[in-house]
Amino acid sequence: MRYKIAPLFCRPWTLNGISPRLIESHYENDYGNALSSLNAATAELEALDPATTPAALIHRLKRDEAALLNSTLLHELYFASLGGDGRTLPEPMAQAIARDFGSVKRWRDEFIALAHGLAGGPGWVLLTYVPRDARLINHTTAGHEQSLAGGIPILALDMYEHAYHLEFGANPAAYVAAFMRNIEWDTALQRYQNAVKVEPPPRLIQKQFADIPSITVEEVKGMIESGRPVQIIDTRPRHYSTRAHEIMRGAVWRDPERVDEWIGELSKAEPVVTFCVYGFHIGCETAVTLRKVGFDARYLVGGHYAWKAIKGPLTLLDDTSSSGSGPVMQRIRPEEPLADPQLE
Amino acid sequence: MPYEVKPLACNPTAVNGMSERLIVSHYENNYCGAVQRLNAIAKELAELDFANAPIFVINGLKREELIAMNSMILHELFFASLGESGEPDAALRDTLIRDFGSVSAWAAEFSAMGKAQRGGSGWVLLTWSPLDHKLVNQWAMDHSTTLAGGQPILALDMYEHSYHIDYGAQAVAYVDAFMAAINWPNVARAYTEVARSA
Repeated sequence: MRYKIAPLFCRPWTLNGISPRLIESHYENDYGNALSSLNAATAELEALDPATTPAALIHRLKRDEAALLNSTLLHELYFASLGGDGRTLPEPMAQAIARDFGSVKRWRDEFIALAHGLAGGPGWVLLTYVPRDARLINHTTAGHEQSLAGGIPILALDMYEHAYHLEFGANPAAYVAAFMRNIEWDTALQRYQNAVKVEPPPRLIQKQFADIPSITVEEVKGMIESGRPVQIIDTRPRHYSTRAHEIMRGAVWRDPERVDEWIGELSKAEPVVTFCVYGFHIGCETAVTLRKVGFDARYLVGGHYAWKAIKGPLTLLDDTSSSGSGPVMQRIRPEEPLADPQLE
Repeated sequence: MPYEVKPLACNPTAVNGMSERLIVSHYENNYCGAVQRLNAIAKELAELDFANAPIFVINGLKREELIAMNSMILHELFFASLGESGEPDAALRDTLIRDFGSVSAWAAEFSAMGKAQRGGSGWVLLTWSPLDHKLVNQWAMDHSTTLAGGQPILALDMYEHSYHIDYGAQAVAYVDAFMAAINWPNVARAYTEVARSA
């Protein structure tokens, strides 16, 4: 047996408005059945040779295993979410929630609304820490098997009907209110403090350009929209840009091989942003070249495709600009509308 | 035109093994609730500017519409599936024997599928499959999972609201009670309908 049962975390007789009978049935039947089925599915999988077993059988067993494992984990979290008075949030917990939701009240209203939205159907409402963005989010699942990738749930409300029907019948709102009155925030804080130790997934690091200032596509979009002056140069290689059909709106294409020929068009009084296709080398190298002679040049993280991915506005790349003999540096003026993310 | 709630198709005081309280709660809260939700969604959809609405609004509303509509349809069939104990009529019995080997083999498969959904949600449906010209037992993980083109003629609700009031977590006892309370005349009528159109 790979998975061992965890004892009930909350003390059922201390709960306010949730009876021991309901918790006992939930723990014994739903949590207990999930765990024993999980062990059975795991044992079956271990006995198989994945190299020779039909893929469909492995697929079925693994799907069940994932659902049963999540049911086990979430039920343990659910029982650990209960046992407090629901109102007393330790200060660091209240601050984290206020930071990410605006206020504790707003968090609470959203969490309750999500629970009401699951009334009569199965699912979970989870308060989850997302390491990618270092913040908390409320979300629901439509079954045990769904979860937020990489997220760490710190509070779980079971909205399967077995969680309440025995006692509350078809009145999930009363059950949700009872759950909120019994949240144990001290251990939720412990889980939160453990969760925040998880680093965000590592980002792309280009060691050779580590000391070159960069700028994100969101920042550039913000500069353009607020009318701040910026000189944006598309330095995709010539062999690439001659096949390209579109260019970031507000940028001009210049040949990265011939910086000397166009450097005179630039102003040192205003920032320069350079970019290439994906943001790996050429945009960075051009920024290095420009910085050496005194320009406030930065490379655009993610390049042309990151701009496209945030649905930044584009314009058709005509033959003249792709041949490098296009108009002199266009300057973005605040009166030019840029809100339309469509290709013009 | 809004969808109207249909009257309860079974007599809630005369279903062996299920209390009036359970059936009435199921009817009022889950079935009537689904119809109300469906009407609310239909109203929102009627006012929606599809050409300009964000995709998550379109997806969200259409998903909820499907779930509420199927919940309505399947609950109506579920209540019509309940009655007093009886047997399938000759035509239905012959079809069950043809498609499953015997009536008891069909019943063993159908009830095992119900019991396998304990502690979760879903439906077990006896469905006419026009493609195969036969009856099949169909598994559904929620209201929205149904066999494309299939015509359900018998519905076992395995959402926990169907049994928790009477049986708590004892889903097995609920399925046994359901199997003994199938309204075979209603199932036979539904079968005659689908077989005629086949």
